Amino acid sequence: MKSAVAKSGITDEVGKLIDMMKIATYGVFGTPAVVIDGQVKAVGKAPTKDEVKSWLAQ
Amino acid sequence: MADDCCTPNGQVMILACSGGSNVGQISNQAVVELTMEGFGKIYCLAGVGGKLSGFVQSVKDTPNLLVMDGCPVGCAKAIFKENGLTLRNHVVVTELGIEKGGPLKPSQEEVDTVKEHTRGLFAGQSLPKAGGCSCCCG
Repeated sequence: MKSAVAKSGITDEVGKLIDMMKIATYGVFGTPAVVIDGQVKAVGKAPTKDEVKSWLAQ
Repeated sequence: MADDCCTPNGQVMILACSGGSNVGQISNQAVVELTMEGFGKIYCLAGVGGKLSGFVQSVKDTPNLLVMDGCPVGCAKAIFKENGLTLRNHVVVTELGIEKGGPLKPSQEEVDTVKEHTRGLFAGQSLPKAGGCSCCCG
């Protein structure tokens, strides 16, 4: 995630949530999960760099 | 996010209409019991209906899915259609010989009928045992 974001030139913060109560607020069925600007993009799998790029381009 | 807990690992996501009729409540009780027995994990259909991204994306990314409607009105089915989700392993309680309109509190016999049918849908499939973690969503 971090390398894909860095390559995109976006300087927004990338973080990893480990607090289960905070994770629960997203309603995801499992982890890992990816959230971009509050929108859940992937659940239960690590995305490919291409997937991340396409999400960042949206 | 954390990757040491809550990973679905292919366990069955179970959604029920949990509607306001006997068959809706039978669907809910069957799903609760299937979850407690380790068959899969109950998930929140209301979140999908509300188009919350975590719920909709979770359905998209979960390979093993069970969707239960109480009656032919098919609210769960409609929620899937509305969200462009692929319906898989769809159970309708009234199609199992249980009539709509009975007492709201389900009998164990009716719940067992639904559970038995549901387990039969997945017979022969190698499903992972559901874990004890229920921290992500109920």
